[in-house]
Amino acid sequence: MRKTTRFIAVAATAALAVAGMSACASSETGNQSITVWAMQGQTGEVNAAKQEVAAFNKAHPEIQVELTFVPDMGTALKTTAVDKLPDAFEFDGETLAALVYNGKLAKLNGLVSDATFANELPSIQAEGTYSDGNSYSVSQYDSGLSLWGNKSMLAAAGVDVPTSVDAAWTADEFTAALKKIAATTPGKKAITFKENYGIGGGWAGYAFSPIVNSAGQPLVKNGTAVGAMDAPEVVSAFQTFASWKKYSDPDADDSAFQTKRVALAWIGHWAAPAIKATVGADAVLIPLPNFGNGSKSGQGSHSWAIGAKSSKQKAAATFLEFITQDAWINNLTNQNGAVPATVSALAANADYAEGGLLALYAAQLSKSCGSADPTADCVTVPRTISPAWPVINTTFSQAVQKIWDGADAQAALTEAAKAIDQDAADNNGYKN
Amino acid sequence: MTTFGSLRKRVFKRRFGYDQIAGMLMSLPATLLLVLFVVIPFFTAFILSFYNAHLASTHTNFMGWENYRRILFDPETSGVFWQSLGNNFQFALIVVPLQTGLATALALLLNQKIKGIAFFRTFFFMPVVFPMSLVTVVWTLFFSRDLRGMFNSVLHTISGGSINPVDWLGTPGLALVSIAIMSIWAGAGFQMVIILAGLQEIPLELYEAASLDKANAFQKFRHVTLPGLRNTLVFVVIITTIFSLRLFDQVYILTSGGPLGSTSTVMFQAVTTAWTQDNIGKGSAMTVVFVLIIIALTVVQRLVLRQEKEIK
Amino acid sequence: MSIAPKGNRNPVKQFKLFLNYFFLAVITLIFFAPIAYLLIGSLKPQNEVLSGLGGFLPVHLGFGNYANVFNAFNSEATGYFYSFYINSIIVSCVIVIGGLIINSMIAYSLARLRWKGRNFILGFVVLLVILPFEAIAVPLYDLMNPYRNTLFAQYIPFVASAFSVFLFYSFFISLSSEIQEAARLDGAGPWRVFFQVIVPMSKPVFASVTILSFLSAWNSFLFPLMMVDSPDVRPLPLAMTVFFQQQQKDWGTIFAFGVLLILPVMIVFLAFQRYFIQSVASSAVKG
Repeated sequence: MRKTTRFIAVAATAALAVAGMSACASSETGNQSITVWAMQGQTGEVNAAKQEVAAFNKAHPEIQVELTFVPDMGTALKTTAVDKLPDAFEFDGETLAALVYNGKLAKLNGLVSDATFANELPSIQAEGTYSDGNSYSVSQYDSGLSLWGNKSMLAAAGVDVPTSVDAAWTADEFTAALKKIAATTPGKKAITFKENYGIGGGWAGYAFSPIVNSAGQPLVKNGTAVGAMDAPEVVSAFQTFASWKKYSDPDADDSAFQTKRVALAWIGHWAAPAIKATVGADAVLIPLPNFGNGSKSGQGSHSWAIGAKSSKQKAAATFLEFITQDAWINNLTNQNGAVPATVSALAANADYAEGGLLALYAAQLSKSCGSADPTADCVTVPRTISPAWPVINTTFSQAVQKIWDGADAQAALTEAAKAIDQDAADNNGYKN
Repeated sequence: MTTFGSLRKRVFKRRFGYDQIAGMLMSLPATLLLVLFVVIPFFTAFILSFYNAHLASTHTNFMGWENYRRILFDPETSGVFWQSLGNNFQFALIVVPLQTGLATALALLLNQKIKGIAFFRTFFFMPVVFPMSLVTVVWTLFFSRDLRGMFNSVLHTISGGSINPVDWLGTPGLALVSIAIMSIWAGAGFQMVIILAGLQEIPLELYEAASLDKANAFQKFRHVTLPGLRNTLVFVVIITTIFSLRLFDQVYILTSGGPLGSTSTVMFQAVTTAWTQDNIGKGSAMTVVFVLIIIALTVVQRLVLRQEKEIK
Repeated sequence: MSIAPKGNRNPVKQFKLFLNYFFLAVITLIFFAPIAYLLIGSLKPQNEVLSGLGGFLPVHLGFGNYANVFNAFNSEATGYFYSFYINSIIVSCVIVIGGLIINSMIAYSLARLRWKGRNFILGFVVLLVILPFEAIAVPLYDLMNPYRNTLFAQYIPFVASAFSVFLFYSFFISLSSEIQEAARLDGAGPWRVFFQVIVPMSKPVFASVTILSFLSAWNSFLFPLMMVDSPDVRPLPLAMTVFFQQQQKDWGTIFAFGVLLILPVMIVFLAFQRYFIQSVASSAVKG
């Protein structure tokens, strides 16, 4: 058996060597193959990626893309050494700063044309820019976060529906609306907060950090979480949030809104195709409630980058330019319901025009707060662009989960803020 | 001519010399692999526990005993570890007696000469072959807190609608019990077969003698079965204790340690701190402390059991 | 009425027998319920799985969920479903077969041979039995990272197992030493004694170690999660978790995957269950 073991090991090494040699051979003839990792997301996204790659390989016979779908990209990028990264890869945009900090991403300035960057939504530009001022990613789509409402059910409950950011419900109005809806709904629940995603597992970092911003604070102010994340107005906002639990459907089958058990859903764009198919003309987008500093929302989604040590960065950039063309963006967003990430694609899409079903997403994203602290006038806030984000995200999300489960909001948020600050201190402020 | 005694001596001498080499050679492959893949990683964890270190990053700095201080003593950060350790013991206190008791009851039920025993035994043992990841997926739906969850649906039906849905995994105090119930379902069959084998080794004559003494069923159980099962039960209790202290998968998939940390365990904290939060140093320090605790417990357990033997 | 005594049978005994079967049936029902739920759910449409007791109703059954599973993994880029099977089989077989050889050898040398260092190694193995795998998962990942995305990295750390050694050791030490002594007096060396005398006598422990190590290898999850991104070497349980995360609670399809995951183990279990249970019991009880 030891022999077998060794045999397999030797065979594996030999196979790798052969693969390596054939890769070299092909680059000598002028043709290159580049490796590309895409996230193994929902079916529409997987199909779109396959279609893009097939089209690219046809259009660029000199560059052949070898596509692999990776299920847990966050882990894969975290654990793969920089010299073993693929030439180009898709990743969750929120991890950009951590990847740059650890030297894994190539600067795209100069590799990707200025015109491509200029056509990106401001929110996407902000998301792809590290604190050194350089761009490290391009995107095919941005995200939309808000409430979905079921018009008939809301009308039956006697609730008026605000559809523009300026008219958003205040937190108190929202509480009153939940109460009315629950009273007129058979299951006595009013809303799904998508608890099934796992609040403490990072969902809160995206979906419920707008509550912090709407209360008037960033998660981290001037590098410190204490005094921002646990400010009195934030604490009171989360006390209100926790009071909504009695109206919340646990949504273990991921379809409380689609099957009309509840009239509201606090959810991102990815549910749009399913909601269109089930709730149909009754569906309406509603801004998230206002906790004092204006309704706020999230932004940022999957992005694409080039490996810092890739020897085929030019070819990889050609691929990124190809997939961020409007035609391919539309092909993808038609399948996953996301917001097209370029100004031109968004403008051409009737869904996002005034009066369109998804117009609220475009309106929200047009007022990006960028990397600055959120003000009353801007709407979408990117997840903190800092190498500390993975820590901020998990720590904050766990605090929100605790509050949801009944913990004291002040204690939970202060504990989280202190942990975030301690981590920053341990890492010398994440200076390079 | 050699006497039998000197032949014996020579054989033994040869045997001893030979044993030294053969013993070392036979234990070499396993020892080598265990050192490489268990001991070295554990020492690495020990060293890492003194650093602020991350999986992905080369930014590493020495922190001395700071990780240990934060885990064990810092009033602001040590709460999680102690709570988790407490949960570990609470879980063991629920699972060890209940699972051992249930397994014993099942084994007694199966240790009868009636038709179809093999059939029932197959079903009792079946959950053991299921991977924990699959078990938890199924039980997620049993524990769902609305009426579409299995347990709530059953209670609702039985009570004619008078019992309100229970949030099995979302109520502090209940969540750990729910996980324990699931774990007992998944694991009892394993203990059961071990105890069943133990039962079958008890000589029948003892029961016959007890019958002659006009002992009733309970007296037979108390004075024949239990003493006869003693060694088996000790083994089962030790194994179950170790496994329940290691509790990880169920928590990782079902509750992520919540609600309010009431199902968090030390292994869960160690793995998520190191892996999810990417703080290998702190996660490693938790591991080291936990392994020391388990070693201490095992030593105590051994001493107690040895003492009992001596008393006997 | 149906439990009324028949013929000349003792009614008390008859009632006891009835009670026995009643309890056995109820407990069987409880133990089998989650499994039945899994089987039925895997054949039901998505929205009918999570519906309380209704989840047990065998209505609207079909194989659509199984088709979904196969369709989700049908290309080079996503990996093929059958290759997850092959990966799991290779990894499990190497761990089981390799483990049987080296773990039984060391256990024999510790239980039956007298050599210097034996007690040290024995203490070391006992210590490792209680060390949870999770405790070393991250440093082990670090050590094996150069081999990430290989099958090698998935089996080599698990071939040697302190728990298997412990099971073998407990069995060997309980074997009567007379036959071995006789064989050795006949001039047989420790290797011959081991392979020709001990191994044939120890079928139960080999069977139970095979079963237990196969189960843990087939079900391993945390380490592949850390070591494997490529679909080429992805094992089955990891593929299921991946699927679980992607499908966002399409329970029918997830259950179908679960059934496919457990199917080979179930077939082996049902075919050999008699030997299976006896061997686990007979080797463990010696400990």
